[in-house]
Amino acid sequence: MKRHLSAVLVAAIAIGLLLAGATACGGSDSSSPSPAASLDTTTPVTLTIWHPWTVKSEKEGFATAIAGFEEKYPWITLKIVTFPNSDEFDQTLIKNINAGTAPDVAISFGPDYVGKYAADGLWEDLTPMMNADNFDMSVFAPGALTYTSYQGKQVALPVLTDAYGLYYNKTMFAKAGLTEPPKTMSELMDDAKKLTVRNADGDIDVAGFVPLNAFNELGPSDLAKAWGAKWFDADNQPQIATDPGWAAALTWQKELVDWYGAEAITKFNAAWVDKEWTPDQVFETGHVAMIWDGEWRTKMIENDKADIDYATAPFPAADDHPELYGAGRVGGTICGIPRGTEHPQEAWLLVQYMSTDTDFLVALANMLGNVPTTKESAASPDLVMPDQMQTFIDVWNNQYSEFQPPLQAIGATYADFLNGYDDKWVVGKGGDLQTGLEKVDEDIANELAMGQAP
Amino acid sequence: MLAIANHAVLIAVSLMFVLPIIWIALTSLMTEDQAMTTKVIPDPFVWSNYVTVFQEIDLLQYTWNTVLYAGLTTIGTIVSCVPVAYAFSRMQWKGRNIVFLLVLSTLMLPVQITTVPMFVVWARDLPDWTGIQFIGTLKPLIIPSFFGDAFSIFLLRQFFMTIPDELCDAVRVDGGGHWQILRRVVVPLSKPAIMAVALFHFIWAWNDFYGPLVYLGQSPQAQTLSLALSNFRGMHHVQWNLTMAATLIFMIPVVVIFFLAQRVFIEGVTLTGVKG
Amino acid sequence: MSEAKASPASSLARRAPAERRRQRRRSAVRRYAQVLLFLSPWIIGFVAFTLGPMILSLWWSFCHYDMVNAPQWIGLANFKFMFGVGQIQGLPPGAHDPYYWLSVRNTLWIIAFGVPLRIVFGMVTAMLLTRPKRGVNTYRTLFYAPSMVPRVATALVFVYLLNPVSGPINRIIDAIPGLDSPLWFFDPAWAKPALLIMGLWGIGDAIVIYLAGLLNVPRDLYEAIAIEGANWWQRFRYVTLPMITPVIFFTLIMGIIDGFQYFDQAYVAGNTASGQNAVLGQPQGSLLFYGLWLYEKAFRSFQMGYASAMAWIMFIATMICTVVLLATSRRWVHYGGRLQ
Repeated sequence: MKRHLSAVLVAAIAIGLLLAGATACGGSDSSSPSPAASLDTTTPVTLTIWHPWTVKSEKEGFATAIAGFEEKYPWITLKIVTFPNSDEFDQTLIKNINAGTAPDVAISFGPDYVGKYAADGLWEDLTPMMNADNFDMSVFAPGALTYTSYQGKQVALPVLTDAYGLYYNKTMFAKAGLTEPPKTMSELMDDAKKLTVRNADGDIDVAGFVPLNAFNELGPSDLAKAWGAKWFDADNQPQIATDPGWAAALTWQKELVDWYGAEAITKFNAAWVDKEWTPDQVFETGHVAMIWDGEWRTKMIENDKADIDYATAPFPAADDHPELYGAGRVGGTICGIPRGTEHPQEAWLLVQYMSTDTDFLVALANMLGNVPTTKESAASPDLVMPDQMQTFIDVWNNQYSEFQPPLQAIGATYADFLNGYDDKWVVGKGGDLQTGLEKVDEDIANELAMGQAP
Repeated sequence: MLAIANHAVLIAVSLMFVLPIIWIALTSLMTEDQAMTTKVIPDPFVWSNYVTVFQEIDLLQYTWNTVLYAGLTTIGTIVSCVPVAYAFSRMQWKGRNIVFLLVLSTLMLPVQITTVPMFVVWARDLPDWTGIQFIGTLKPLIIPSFFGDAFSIFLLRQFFMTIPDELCDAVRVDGGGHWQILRRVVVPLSKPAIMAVALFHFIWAWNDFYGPLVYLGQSPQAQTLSLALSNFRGMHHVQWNLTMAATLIFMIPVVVIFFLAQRVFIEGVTLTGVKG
Repeated sequence: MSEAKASPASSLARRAPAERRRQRRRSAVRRYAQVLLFLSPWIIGFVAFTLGPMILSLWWSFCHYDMVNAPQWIGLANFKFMFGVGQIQGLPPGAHDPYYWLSVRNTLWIIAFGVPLRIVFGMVTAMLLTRPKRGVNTYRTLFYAPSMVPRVATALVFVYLLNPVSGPINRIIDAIPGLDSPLWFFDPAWAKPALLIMGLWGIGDAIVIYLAGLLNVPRDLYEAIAIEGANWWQRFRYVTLPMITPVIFFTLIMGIIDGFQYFDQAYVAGNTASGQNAVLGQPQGSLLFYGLWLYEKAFRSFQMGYASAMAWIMFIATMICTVVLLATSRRWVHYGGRLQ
């Protein structure tokens, strides 16, 4: 039955490739290597690929970019399916994998489910095929491993990525006499206070920096990262109450919220939060001096012709962790091979192409404004991007950058226990911090335990 | 005097209901930049948004699929639910209330959970047994509608129970059985209710998003209009102006059908006035 | 030939009980056969599409099932986690679902306030529309139009309208001296009322049902009571209200059944307002409904066994409410002018 491509079969193919194709090109140049000698290049093969780029411009952009693949491997035809809803993409994919009707290759916008794909064998482990083609993960930044591999199984590869950092308004900085962006959390707090402007009635007109959970893209774990805080210890048990970085981050956060006044900052948040994806966005309209955001904002500012003079920098690190400055959250679109495909070798070629082919990555990056993931694509002269994007490429390449929240077999919803507590904590309804964090640990641990087979 | 007050209230309530739709219409005429910002009146008025919508999605194909889905499932619902509701209202038999409770019980479990096993059946087991492909077609959505649905059965039962016994007895005296009673008395007198059920079901199917997503997500040519609305959602931006325009286009057939269906309500009034 | 000479009446009398019994049985069988025939579409559908999944989900509620691997029996562990009682293997004592009771409370709130509101508003608005007058068709269409708007658009509209700072509703409230405009979807105390407002906008289908019910009332009853010189309240109290109790009964039960599963509106509104996946019913859990939490557990945390357990507890609660309502309905629901 085509339901399982068992490990044995994959190993057999790998061995076959190794024996027959020992001279297959290595991955030393980052464009896709030529196929192994044993691969049948005459029988036409159709690969089905699902992706969630539904808007006409993005759909067509992808189709144009991927045309190079069919040119390179002429016996392969691509059947491209645009899945109508990215929120339900992974759920539906899992349903189809169970029923045996999954595509050969899938592209997902987010790696939240990679843990499950790996743990339950829903996506193929690419390691044997990578070894056969001498494909190395070092072509990507070390951060890639944090969201494409789980428990030793490399089930996905990145297709461009997101990276997060600090955006700041240079005009406001100049007016306040600040020349440099903040590099430590203390500086961030001081600058935020200096740059805040209030109305006559006490409402916040311009906020220096809004530390609230879910204000645009920020989360408490992003703040905690400045202290190098880790979610889980070596035994995969949550350590939010014991790793001091978390308490430090949440204390910092509450201090700033209290300075604004919980009510005032909540009202400010309410006014701006639903405008994140419109040209009325809070930073673009000059109502916040500094904001944590992803690299795509540079493209949006360009498209919206926002009237601001801005720059980007890595997000500050904690005062006592200067070595962490330059790191940030990374991770984004991934591709992989659902189990049960009838053409694993061709699927592997496609996955390789989409993650490493320079022309493809550059075309896609120009269209979407995401961070190119390979050194060659980042250095390509065809890459068109605002100068401010360089920060994010640097963040991507930083050794301490990683994906948040860490991959787990039960998905990513456990992080919401912390977010839910954080929402209460900042407005003063969280009680004692240590007790609250211990409860969060308890809930996460229980969630992990409930998610495990007995 | 009372008439004027009545009209005033009606106009006020209508405004409350209609203003948000006017906002949708205004947004549909904005440029992408202005949509969802604090601006309320478009400046300029981009009438071409509607043309763009037609160009960006294959409206004819989607509309046809949606008409098929909504139309066939509505027919299936009426055809199957009327006799079942009759059995629960105008036939006396032991255990009637218990079985009715069983019918209601099918509404009490969340549909997303009960459809999980059904997906595998449609996707793998049935094709294995019959050789017919179900995923990527409207079949898994249409076929179950011909086997009754608890909401419609319940609603029809309530109306069937209000029909006076004398009228049904009259048919019995003439030598007619249940089938004749159903045809000659119950159905004609229940036109408002049957129309209501048909209307609800049609509109529900027209707007249904989850069912088509699960079964048609991978087959663009079979998709319905509700899925087409997602076509304006980019990775980091949404074309709200086009989405709103598409939403209005999406709603128009249903509004027209509703407007016309009201005639049947009126007919029902005249017939109801005759009885008793 | 003495029997041949016996009167036909006496021989009939001797055969009567057995014959009558056989006739009764035959007509009973015929009756049930007819009932089965009329019920057959539903029975076939139930067995084919619903019964299997229902039983399966009941089994899952006693299992650990992650949607991929085969379900594994764990007994009452899911229920213990739900209610926080007993000791679950592999978990510390007292381990429980931290948001279960919150979701129950939120759901009961929306049922307690949403269902009566829907009934009253639906009925009153329908009554406004029964009098034949000019333009009534247009009014009816306008009232019903919001129910035809797809959910995503509805949520968007209300998140925009109820934006605490830029939304038109708050701007109007702020203009009125002495009134403080609430933060709606951003204030835990006002988020559910905001949903109620959104829900009221879409009561078009309740209006249609009440309309059908009102049009169903026999005219001659109104004529009869008019002869006795009744005013509008008496007309309503003694004719209209009793005659539409079947419809009220329907909306009451459907409202409770739907209320327990309430999720769609809150999900879309929560997502849109907060700009993120509304897992925990932001703000601060006030929009965490039972159906929403169940969905998250089933499809985002892959705890299908636990979610099935939640579904069956909800089933039992809904069933109890429905049985109670059905049993008491005989006292207040009038069918066709006679009590059922």
